[in-house]
Amino acid sequence: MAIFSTEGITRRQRLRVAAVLVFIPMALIVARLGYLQIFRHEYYSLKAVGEHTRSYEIPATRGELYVQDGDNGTVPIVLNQTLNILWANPHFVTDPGGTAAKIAALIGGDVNSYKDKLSQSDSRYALLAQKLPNDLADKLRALKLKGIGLSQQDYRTYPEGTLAAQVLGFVNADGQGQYGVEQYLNDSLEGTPGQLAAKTDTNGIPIATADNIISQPKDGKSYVLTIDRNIEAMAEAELATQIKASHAKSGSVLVMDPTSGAIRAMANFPTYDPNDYNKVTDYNVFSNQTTSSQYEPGSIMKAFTMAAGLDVGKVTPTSTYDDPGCVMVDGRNVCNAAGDKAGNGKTMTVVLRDSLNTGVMYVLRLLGGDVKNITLPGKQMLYDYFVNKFGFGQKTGIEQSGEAAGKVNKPSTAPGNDINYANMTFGQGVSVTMVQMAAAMGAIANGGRLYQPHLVAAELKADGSQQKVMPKVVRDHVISASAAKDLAQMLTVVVMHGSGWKANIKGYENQIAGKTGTAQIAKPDGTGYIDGANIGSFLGYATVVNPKFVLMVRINEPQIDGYAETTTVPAFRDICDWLFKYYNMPPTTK
Amino acid sequence: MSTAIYTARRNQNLYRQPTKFKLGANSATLIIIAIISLLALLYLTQVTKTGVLGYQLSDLSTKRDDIVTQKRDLSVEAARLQSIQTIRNSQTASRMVPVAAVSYASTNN
Repeated sequence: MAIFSTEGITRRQRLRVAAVLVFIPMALIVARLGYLQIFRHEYYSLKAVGEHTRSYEIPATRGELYVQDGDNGTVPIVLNQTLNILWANPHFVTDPGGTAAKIAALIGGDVNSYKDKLSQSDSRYALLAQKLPNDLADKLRALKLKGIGLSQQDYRTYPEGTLAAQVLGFVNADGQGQYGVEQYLNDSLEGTPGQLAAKTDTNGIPIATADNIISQPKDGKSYVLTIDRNIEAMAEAELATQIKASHAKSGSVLVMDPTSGAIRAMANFPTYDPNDYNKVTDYNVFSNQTTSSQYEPGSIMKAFTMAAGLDVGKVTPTSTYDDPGCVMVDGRNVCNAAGDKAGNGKTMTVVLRDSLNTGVMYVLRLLGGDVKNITLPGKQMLYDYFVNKFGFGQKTGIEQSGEAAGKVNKPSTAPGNDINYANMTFGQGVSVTMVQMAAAMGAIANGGRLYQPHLVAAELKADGSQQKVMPKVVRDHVISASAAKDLAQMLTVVVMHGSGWKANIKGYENQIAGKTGTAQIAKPDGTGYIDGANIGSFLGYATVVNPKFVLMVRINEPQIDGYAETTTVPAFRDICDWLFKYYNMPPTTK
Repeated sequence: MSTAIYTARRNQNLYRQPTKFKLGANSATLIIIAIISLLALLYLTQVTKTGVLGYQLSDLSTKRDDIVTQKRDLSVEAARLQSIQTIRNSQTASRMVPVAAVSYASTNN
């Protein structure tokens, strides 16, 4: 007997059953298709686009930097270069020894080191060499070594090597500027990368179709700096010579145009090559000490204390006082530098010439209207000159990362404030940076206008034209023109007859103004000063009749006997002499 | 003209009947397939052209990048050749002596 009997079922009925059996699956399929293509349309569309579309970031070219070359225009000091990275996939290297030998023969290096890397067959990537020039890369490609590859990468290049290293900074492996101008102007220099979303073939090569989305990269801005490479090179060479001669630890030189605040040179020793920044072990060498290192300047500060006294009319160059040799302040004896004896009728000019601490403390007392005591109004006035007029205790805004503000304690009636201010008059108990000092001396040189020190002279446009950056006046009438003139004459006496006598250059008598400073170094814990250690400085400008440059030399912890006149003034003199020739400044006296 | 011809023409229908062009199902199918194939071929040639252009653009872009790279290399090399360090170490500089005294000529205006 049949399990399933078809007796009594007509043909029509069979057709109906077949139709239902076909219709139901088809209906299901249609419903599914409808769901996928209508309700899930967006999801699958996006997925499809993602399968055959790739996004690329188009890197922007980093801006370049240029410096002055005297009257010969500008020269590049920071450029970009496309170099090659040599890498290996050791898994595919069949002959590590032979391959290593061929590579070493072409690019140099240790054969065994290459062999070790190539022998690690479990590894999929080994870095063999970086920054290979394109001609070497072509030769390596021609060898067709198995498992060896080359990739191009943009590198920052500093063709002048160590020149102005701290001013420039460098760019790290992540493409970010570190230190100097590279860090300060990083946002402008790096530009904005572009975006490309393109349909590609199986090899990943974009196919030119109408719906490729491209946003062009915006290349970084290029700048022309105020640095003159010839002055910078000379300053670095002289600094190195002086540091060697005085067996010092480190030092700096700064040259600035007092009529605009343009920085012509910022030299630091020790230094480094930004092309090999990754080989540096002491990171302190990266910092531009002229802007980032605040220190107690010592007797250089007397020039600015005297400026305050002259400007308010409390003293003149010929005003006199009776020098007691030492003055008691807050129970402590504050004396002139060792060997200076007391004496009556000493003029303010002599105070600067002989660098008398008691003389500038006398000026402080006069500022307060009390010839015998340091008063709050006197301290307030000195603070006003130091901070609000000359700009000490605040950043200048120069285009350098890590600029220090320095510190000037506020006047008060608190215990110890008087002794602090007494010390401040001769540059102890106050911290400043070299760039602040240079800017302040520039105001004296030009008759009372404080310019903002700056490093960027112009922005370089794509068409080669320059958009100049105008000098910025921070404030006018820092001191009156007559006070500036009086102070200038007093400072020339320092050079002609005082501690700066080694800076005197024949033919330029009474045209070089300056002040030495030999400052003790404060202990890091703030409990006093380090025995036997000092920082020597000399700050000056020339010529008095036509100031062309402000020059400051600083030598840290010299190991030879003598004050700043021995450790810094010779370098000041040599640089000054060179600058006279460079700027074609003829002698003013025969 | 002969009488016979006149007789024949008299019985002719002078109005031509519209020709009934009949296309068979198979012919129509073949023609449609042929047209579709032609259109598909046209589409393929256009898409291929676009793809080829993409490759050409890529080649040109690569060439441009190579030239830009060469220019950069030359700029760097030029900068190195005129660097202070190179000048100092040059044979020309080694034959020079430092400036000693400078004499300035005066002009009477």
